Amino acid sequence: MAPLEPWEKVLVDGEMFPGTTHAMTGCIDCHGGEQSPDKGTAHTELILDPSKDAEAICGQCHPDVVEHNENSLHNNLAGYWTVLDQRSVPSDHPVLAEAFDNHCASCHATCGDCHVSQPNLVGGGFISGHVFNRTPSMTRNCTACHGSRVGNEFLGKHEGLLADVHFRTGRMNCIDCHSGTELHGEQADCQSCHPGPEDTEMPPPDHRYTGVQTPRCESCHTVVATGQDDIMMHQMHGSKLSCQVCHSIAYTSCDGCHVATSEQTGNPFFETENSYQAFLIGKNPLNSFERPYEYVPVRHVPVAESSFDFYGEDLLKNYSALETWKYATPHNIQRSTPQTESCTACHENPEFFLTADKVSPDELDANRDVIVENIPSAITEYLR
Amino acid sequence: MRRILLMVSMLFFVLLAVGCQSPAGPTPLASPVTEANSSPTDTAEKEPQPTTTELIEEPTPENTVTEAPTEIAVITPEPADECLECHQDKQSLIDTAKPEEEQVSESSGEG
Repeated sequence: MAPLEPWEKVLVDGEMFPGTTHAMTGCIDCHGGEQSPDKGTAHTELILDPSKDAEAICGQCHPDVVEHNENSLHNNLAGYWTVLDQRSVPSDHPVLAEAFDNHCASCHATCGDCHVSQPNLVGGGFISGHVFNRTPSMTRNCTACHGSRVGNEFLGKHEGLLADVHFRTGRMNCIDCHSGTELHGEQADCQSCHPGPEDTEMPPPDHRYTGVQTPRCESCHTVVATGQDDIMMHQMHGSKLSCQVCHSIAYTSCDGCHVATSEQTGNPFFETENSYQAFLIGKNPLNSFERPYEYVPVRHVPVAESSFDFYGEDLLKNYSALETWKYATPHNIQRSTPQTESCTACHENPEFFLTADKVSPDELDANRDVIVENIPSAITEYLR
Repeated sequence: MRRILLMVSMLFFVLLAVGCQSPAGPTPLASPVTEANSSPTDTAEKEPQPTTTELIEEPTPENTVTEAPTEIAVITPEPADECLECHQDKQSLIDTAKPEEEQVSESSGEG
């Protein structure tokens, strides 16, 4: 995606925008500034992204959406702190907060970052001449941030690896599975699916893998969930395996990310030691009612014990409190994969499993709950 | 004698006034026989001379239209939006854009 020219970023579509609902509000009502032909005067106290204050601006007309904003992981980035909290001790949090502000906070997305402009992470600029898009652009909004893993996998940008079947043959895009309800942070309530008492609203998510699975494959593939599709492997494995165990192919893992600020420019930067394509099945570290699987694909995340050493010594004192091979939902689903070729593709074949020998020695403790100690036995064992 | 002269004069003026009013009646245009029998030249002569009474009593569509400009003139035009005027003008934005410093990322590896 080529960066936009400076003028291109702020060019309003004179044919389309004035006829839209959002044009009924005057520019300065949202952006501040003054009515003046002089640029300097007009931009006095200009608010570049009014949706940073979503409650005050967007909430005037969209209160039903904005009321959930504080729970949206896109807005609060709670997932980062859920992990950082567990790997560190409270006394180090102020220093980690500085690192977070420099390196992680840029992932924060406002309403405008999805509905009006490209995210700042890729330079910003209007998507459609300031016309508000109900549906964000897949490549200019979603994968502009979620590009290196999700985007590249889904769109098939890794050499030799097919794009996700939902994109390749279905031309589906992100929002076909990830609904506005989910992305806006609206909490799931049990009554959506089950009859029951009214006060059973789920707590707000503190990580993308907490709470009810949204989306979940069975929402569309209902016959699989009800065992009516006549595929024996679905009935044999049931909920012991997540769908991705059989239907994903190799995906990106990374090692050794370190962050710092530049001595020359003062700008924050990162260095990742290694990244590679791999497919590995591990024990499910998030086993719960919502994710009851025994096995799931696991992806190595780039955190290292020394990731934040630039900011202080030993800031991740509880580094091993969480696994480094994490529960993963690769976005490269295929009907047929190396795992589905035969029973022996997985049974008694250690190649696909995260065994101890595939884990770095200094991460063995962190990954004790996901390392597969006993490879599923040969099929003959099950037939006895 | 003076009184008689005054009364005769007044009678004369009344008769004169009545006599002057009689041509303003509707007779000439109201008579279809007259119009049908009249030559094209006659019609052409009469059309440019409609009376004031006719305009008030039988407004034509043209008369309604002539009232419209009065209504339009009452509406106050919206002030021009300086923001949109500039931000819809590509050349204006090019001319006034601040040059952006090219930022070379010092990051390396997968983000």
